[in-house]
Amino acid sequence: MNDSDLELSVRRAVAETAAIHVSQVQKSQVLRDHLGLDSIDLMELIFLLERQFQIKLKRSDFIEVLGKNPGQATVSEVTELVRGKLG
Amino acid sequence: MRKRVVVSTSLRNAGVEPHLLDVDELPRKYPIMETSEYLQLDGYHFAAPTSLSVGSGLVLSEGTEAETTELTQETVEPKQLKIMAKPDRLLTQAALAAVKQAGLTDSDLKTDTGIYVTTGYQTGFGEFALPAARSFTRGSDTQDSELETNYWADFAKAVTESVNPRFLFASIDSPLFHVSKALGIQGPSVIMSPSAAQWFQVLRAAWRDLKDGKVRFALLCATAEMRSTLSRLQNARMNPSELRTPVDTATCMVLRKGTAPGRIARISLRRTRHPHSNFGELGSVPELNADAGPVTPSLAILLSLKNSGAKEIHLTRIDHDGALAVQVSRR
Amino acid sequence: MRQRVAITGLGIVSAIGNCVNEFADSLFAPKAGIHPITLFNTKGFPVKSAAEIRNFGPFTYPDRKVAYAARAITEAIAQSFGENGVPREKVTVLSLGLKHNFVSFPEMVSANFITIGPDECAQQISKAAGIQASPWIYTAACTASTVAIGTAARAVADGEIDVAIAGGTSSCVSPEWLLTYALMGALNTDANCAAETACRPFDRNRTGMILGEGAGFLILERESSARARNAPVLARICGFGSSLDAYHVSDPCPDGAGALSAMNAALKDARINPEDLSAINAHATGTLKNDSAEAAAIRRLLDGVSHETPVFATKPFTGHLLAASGAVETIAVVSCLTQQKLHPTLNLVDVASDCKLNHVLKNRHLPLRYILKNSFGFGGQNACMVLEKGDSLDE
Repeated sequence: MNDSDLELSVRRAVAETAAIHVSQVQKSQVLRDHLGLDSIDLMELIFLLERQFQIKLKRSDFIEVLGKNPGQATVSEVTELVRGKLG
Repeated sequence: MRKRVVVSTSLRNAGVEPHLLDVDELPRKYPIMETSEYLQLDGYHFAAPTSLSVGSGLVLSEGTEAETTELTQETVEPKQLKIMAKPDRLLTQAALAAVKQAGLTDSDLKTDTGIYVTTGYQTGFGEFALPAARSFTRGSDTQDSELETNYWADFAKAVTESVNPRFLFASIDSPLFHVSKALGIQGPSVIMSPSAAQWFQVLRAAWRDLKDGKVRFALLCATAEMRSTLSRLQNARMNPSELRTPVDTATCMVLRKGTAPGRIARISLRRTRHPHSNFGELGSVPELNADAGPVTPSLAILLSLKNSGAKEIHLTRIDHDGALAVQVSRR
Repeated sequence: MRQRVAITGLGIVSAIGNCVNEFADSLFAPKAGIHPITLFNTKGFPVKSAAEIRNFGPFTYPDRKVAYAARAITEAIAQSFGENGVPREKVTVLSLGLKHNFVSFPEMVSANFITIGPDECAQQISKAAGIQASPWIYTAACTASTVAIGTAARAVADGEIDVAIAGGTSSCVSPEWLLTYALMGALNTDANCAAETACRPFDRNRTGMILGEGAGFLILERESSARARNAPVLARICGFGSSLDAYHVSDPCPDGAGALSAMNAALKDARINPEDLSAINAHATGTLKNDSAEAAAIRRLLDGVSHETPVFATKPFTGHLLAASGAVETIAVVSCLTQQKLHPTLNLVDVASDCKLNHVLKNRHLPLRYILKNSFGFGGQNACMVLEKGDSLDE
């Protein structure tokens, strides 16, 4: 999967979770503060990303790799996390 | 001559043959401990099935097909809509419409309103988890001890990978949350399940709060997805002779305390206290069938109000702790 | 409430005792009931600890909560009415809080699919306990049995009914429910955490709930009626209040506004003020969000009045019994009122900065008159009850 497809797939998953159109999801937006994702949304996002990319993703991955809780990550940081999991 | 619709219910456990009991006979059989409390019906809405069988062959029908209603993003926040199962959607739609008809303000709703709701065998999560369950093909009768050791680990993996966690929150009591959130209601609440008996009990709970001044308005609600896989299986086991045409439906009635008629109707409640020891003297009463489960009593009232032209609708429930006679008099 | 409602009988099945005396002894020993799970093999399973019932004996019913309820109801009725049971001339209800039983996955794919709905459960409980009473079945999540007790108390006070057998029962220590709550993010799933210290309400290092199972039932009647027949008045229910957050399907309102509203409603119903409270038994699940919100609500309740009112929590002993938690913890409150001492909140080592209250860390003897019992549940449901000391042991 090339970079732009990966980024679009992540943005689509975020959009579905936030119940908004993918065009409203920007790379720099913080999941909680800008996109309003709450605890349930973040659980769902992790589930969608795992299924979409066939990876294992845990809350602790956000803390270990990004140094922050899932809600504090930006869309581009989530993309980097997924890219790292895909190897 | 005034048209009346008379419906009576009783405990299924009575095990007696049904015959029609005229509700006016009730006072002569039992001492009345309490005369009428009056409620005003100011608004109502229901998701209508095509038809509903009530009592011994009496059928009330709604002309239009209305299996489900679709809430829109204009009426409910998208993220709330996303986690709603069918009973949640049906009831929220009914509540929004009933409240609008009754003319309640945001301020009325926030501080002066309570929600009194009955739900059916809802288990939204169970429905969504069915595909996961079916894909988990290793049965519990395995004899292999090595397999047994990993059985629940494999089960956890199968469910975790298959079920979107947002569906975990569609539960037997989630309809209460959705109505409260959609309307901003922060008052008291009572939620009971899963059958027609509980509807009469939440009606009493609403009446109790109204008469004690805990609330000024009561949303008397009921919702059930009788056609869901799990509901069908449960009813097939418990009520095999009764479930003829299960329906998915919900009702909401907006009630106030008062002796004058409400915008739609006046409801009077007559209650007797009666210990179970005399239950056998009850005689026979017909049973509302389980087509709409806990929604059946309110649906019978509202379909009658809307369609039958009846001036009065009588509904009676006889239980181990006495009888409750509900009379709805059209304005 | 218009009339004082007496509690004349108690019955319990819990991880720390299968009768009230054993339960109370464990509260003050203190001896907790959270251990590594033995009901099934947890290898690879995300949850390792729970508060299981032990030494209960063989189960006649496939759904364990039926047996728990029957045992607890039998104990409660025996204490209140003796071996003859509730007199048949009393108008009696069975008011209970229940969780919709989860359908076991293996059973779902089997042709012999069995599940048990709330009404069937109530029927089986009535039959097993040998009682005939209208079942009032509440499904208000974790507040269900508190609502069952509080609303039954109001019906008793108003003269609608004579006797209420009120409480709740739960058997959610099963792989399906444990997994459900783990997936919801509610449980402590730290595999490195010792079972005994896994439930730590208000602690800075708390990470979630531990589920428990069991049942608790109370016999309620008008105090005048209890006195007339020389029944024991173990405690009284004087007030009940409920509210909704209208905030989030699982998270509580962070500033505790909804919880505060229910607490105030209960105090108003009891016709007392916050400064009249001797103590507060918190819901205190051990989750980050509940405990913070509840602590905020309690501080607001006591603000300008008395921040010294002690707060204690029962779940580190019993686990979280979900629908039955209110009933079991109410029995803990009655035990405290009867013995005029508070049991501690176990495992509270480092109080979180947003959970500062007058926490009870070891048994505390003090005059107790009114205790507030809190219950909060998913969907923003809040239910609170005020209990009053009954007759002392010496009377």
